[in-house]
Amino acid sequence: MSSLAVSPSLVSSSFRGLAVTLVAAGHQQLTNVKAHMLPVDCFKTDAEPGIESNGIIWLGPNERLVMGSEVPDMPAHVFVTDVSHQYTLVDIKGRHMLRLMQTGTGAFPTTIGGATRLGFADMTLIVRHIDSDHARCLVDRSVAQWFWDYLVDRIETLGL
Amino acid sequence: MLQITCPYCGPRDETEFSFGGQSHIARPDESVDDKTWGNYLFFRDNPKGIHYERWCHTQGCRQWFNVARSTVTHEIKAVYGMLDPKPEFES
Amino acid sequence: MTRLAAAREISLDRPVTFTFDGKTYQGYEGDTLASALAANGVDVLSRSFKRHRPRGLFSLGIDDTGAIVQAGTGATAEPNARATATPALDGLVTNSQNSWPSLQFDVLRTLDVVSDLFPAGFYNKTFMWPNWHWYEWAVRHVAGFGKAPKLPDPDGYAHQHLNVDVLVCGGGPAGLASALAEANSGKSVLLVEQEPTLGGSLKSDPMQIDSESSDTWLSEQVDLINSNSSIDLRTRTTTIGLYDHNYALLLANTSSNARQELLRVRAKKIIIATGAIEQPLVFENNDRPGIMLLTAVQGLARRFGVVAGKKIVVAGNHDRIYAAAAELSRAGLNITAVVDARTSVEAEVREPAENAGIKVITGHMPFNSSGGKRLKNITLNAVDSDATMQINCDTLAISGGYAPAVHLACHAKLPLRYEDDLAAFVPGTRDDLTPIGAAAGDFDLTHTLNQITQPSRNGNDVISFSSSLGPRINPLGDKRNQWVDWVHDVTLSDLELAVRENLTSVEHLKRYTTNGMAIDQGKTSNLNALTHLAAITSREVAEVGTTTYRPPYTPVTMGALVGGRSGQFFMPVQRLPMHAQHASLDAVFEDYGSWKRPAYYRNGTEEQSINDEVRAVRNGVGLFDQSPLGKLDVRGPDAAEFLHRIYLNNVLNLKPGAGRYGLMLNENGIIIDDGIFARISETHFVVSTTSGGASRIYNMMEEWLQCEWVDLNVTVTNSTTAWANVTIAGPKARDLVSKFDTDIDLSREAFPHQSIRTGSLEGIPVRILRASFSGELCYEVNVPTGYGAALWDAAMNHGDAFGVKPYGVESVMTMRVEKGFMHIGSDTDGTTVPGDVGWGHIAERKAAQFIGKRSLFRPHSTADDRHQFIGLEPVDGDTPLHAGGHLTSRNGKASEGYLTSAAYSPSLDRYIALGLLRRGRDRMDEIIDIYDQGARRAARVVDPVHYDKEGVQLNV
Repeated sequence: MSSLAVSPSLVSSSFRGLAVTLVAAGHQQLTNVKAHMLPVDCFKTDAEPGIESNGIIWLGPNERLVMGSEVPDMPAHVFVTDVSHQYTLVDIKGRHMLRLMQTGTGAFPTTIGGATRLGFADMTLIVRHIDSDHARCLVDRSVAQWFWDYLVDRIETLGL
Repeated sequence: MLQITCPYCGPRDETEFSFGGQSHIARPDESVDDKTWGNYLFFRDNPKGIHYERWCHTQGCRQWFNVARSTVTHEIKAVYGMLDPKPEFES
Repeated sequence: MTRLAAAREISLDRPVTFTFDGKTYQGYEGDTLASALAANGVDVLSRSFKRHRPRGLFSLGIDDTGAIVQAGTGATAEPNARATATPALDGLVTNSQNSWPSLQFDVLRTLDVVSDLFPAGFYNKTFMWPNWHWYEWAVRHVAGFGKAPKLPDPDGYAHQHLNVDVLVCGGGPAGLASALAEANSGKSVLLVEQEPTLGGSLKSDPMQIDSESSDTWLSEQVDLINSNSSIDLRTRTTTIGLYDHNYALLLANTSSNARQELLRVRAKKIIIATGAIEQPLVFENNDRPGIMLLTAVQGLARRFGVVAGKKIVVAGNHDRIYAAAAELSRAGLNITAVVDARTSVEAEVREPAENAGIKVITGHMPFNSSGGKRLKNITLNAVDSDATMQINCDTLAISGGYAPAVHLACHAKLPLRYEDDLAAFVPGTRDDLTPIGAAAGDFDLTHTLNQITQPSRNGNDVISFSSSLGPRINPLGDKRNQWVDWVHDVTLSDLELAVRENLTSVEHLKRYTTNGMAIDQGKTSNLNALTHLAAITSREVAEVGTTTYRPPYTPVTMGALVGGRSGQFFMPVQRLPMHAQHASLDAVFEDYGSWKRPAYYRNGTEEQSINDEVRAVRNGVGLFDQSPLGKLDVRGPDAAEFLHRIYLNNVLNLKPGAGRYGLMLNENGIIIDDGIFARISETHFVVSTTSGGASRIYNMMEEWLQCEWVDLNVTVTNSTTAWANVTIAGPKARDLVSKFDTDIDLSREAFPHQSIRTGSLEGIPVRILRASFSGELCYEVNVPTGYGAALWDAAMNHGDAFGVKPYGVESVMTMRVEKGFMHIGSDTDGTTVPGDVGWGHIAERKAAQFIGKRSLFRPHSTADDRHQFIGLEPVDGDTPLHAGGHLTSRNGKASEGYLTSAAYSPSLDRYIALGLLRRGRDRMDEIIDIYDQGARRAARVVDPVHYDKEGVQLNV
């Protein structure tokens, strides 16, 4: 137990538009797994490009993001990095979730269960299509406040 | 706004990628003369036709790959691995 | 006026009131500003660009040339608004443009009287002697059209990215049928129409479709469209450009809170159903108010119930003018004659007009018009004799045929071919990009509809709207007053002037005369201009060709293109983990790359604040948020070998726990980055890149690993934002850090300068690097980002006893100049190689290959007169120096380098600088000049290290 506390990276934790809401999802254990070449049997069930499965997001042929505290054992030279402090999680919920994503990208995964890394308004995001009215964005912590403010501005501009 | 089909992630807009210039350039070793080294650094093909070039999906999977693209119509004729040989096309 | 009962687009029970030039007018919901002004009998709507001639409504579409107005006022005003595309909203305030003191009595009409002085290109030959600036004020006031708002735009704009199976551009009959056919075959369809209502040409020019009226057919189609869930219908949405790989930009005037939206669409297939644009006739004084396109007269009547004039003559060169005239007559308009340029016209073609009691005059063309601000009569001439005749009329409806709207097809690089049957250009086609209907030159709607539901073969069928075509341009008359481009005031004589001056290419003609360059972009002028160019240069029209069509099809606001990415949203801003702490300590933030960082903490003036911070760090201890410093984890069995090829320095012999300052070069031998690389274990290095350079270096490393050194077993991870970096610097730094509970031995013997330690601090993982940009004892304490704020607060607490002060980037820059530590990109440029900054010996000693090594052995890299990194002490130490000043010998005229960094040194109480000087290292103690903004300052060339030359402060 540390004498130091973890600070939030966002000034607000929620914003309500007319038909879409932003919510700062709390701190979550995230682990980046990367290697020169990932062994095939690294994961019990692995993700494919664009699809999330079992809390694992495919980021590249040799790179995965594992969500949650169950990180599989890795052989040597498969490098595991704790990135829990590198991302801020923002949930977009509501009828106009898709319209909000469409302000910055045309690559939002169309199927529910889809997850991918993409470019959004000059940032790189990891996005998960959780449900028809629910998306979760994993954004670099240093741009999280700008990202949040930008989404709020889009919601107000479009009256979402 | 090109649409580039990343070999891993599928079709994405050009803005998610970085351009890496002409592909299939063999890096000379240190024993070459200044002129050969200078050619490697500064001279590139400028075809009116198929250009073999490198792209990196910087905002996606971050992988480098090769593209054969027409400099006239911008049609992308092929996307292939960074280490794969250059595909030929009829003119 | 009373509207015709048949008005289809206005709601007579919903009147609206608006103003034009201060006068109040009434219209109805559904009116455009143009139709409402026409209904109110307003003839003159603008003054022409150069000659200030009165102009009226010409077309009902976005190609109109006369009803160009200033819509709205203040910050949301829109200059050069097309009244034909502006809905008449209740309370709308509009004004005319380009006249003074008023539209009715424009003083600058005198320019028309002396118009011979202002032919095409006059400005290339006049207003130059003795000095252009003498005329500038006057010309700037006279030139131009509307007035741009002077206040920031308060409105919001947004983008929408869409992926669709089919984009159908155009909601006329061909577009509607195509959208339904595609949706019925299972495709997702985006159907866009630039007007508020669907129907295209059928709205003005009805016909029979499968024996029912087109009104009925249209209303059935609209119902089908509205009830089809696969069709996303957007009206008031214009396709403004087509780009590579079927990418389209669409400008949408929407009903959301945003003023406009830009749709960014990727479509698997695009159908271009943009119809055709009616072309005018060219004759003397063809620009008088009351002379308008036939489709305008038709549309005014059928769509808005407006009678264009009391006595209307129809003039044209094709079959369709007869039925059109008859239909207008049936609607209640007074059509007194149909004038056809062709001498022989089939009886069955003439019949509809003759049966309606309209006089038919074949073999004649309009020759001249007269009247003041409204047409009073026209003169016709016979094409094959000297005969002329006059007809009194207040409206002349002209039709020179219809030219397919090929713009989008040309954006997408479909080829154009000239079709004599249409006297117009027609586009080619592609599997995934198909012009259809009139846009493809197929003017037989039945044939088009059959093609859509049962596509036969590839290729366009061109079916003309007429069995034959007469000329559009009258060869007789004063060419100085025969208008081709109404908006830019270009006449036939201007075209002929260009040809006389040997500008015979269509590209030169366009730019010299400005034909086709106004806001209508030549929609009703390009074709006549190049037809005339062909005639006077004895070429075929096909040979002359067209200029290049480029987006946007219609004007687009900057706001729509920007889509909200302005002001604070222009570029993503990165915030420090301890941002809140800095704010509460009264930090003055600046942008450093994409990071917002404290430049200094306010404590008096800027200068005082910075000086206090520097003194605190040099004498006590300071805290600095160095989180943007790049941190790349390089791991793997080949990590050392990889970095050994990246860095100038030896990496292989670095021991775990040690760090080393290294330079990275590009293949051209130029220094691109510097920083500490530290070894945590045999197979794990941490690379510090320059602040803000992490992505760049990370990308560079990945490129080498994926493209060239593919066999190296290495992984690079960019952990920059995973760690908060609290940098503690100063003689008391160890005292402060020792107050934390940590398993790391902080003693001097156990933890020397330029080494790295990992462990835990206050129960959390920590990496501490002893590196220093200030030249003082310094610990860079890295903890997971979320703990940064708490660590900072705790450090401020612990440091209280030692007089701890937070310090910002400006202090860091001052201290590093004092220490002669170079900053890549400030003290180096795109030509600087290691030898220039004193690292040549390291490069020479390294036997192994590293990036850039080969380039260091070229004659240019080893020349003895290169710019070298030096320090500068102004002889007079009391006046500030500026980066960028040139260095010369005393009173010398040649630049021998420049001053790269300057600062006031609180530690030395004088101004100091760094620079790059030719053969600098051989010129120590020489007095040279700094040539700075016109003044010369003498300075001594010195060692770059101004303060603590022995580095005593670091070896503690």
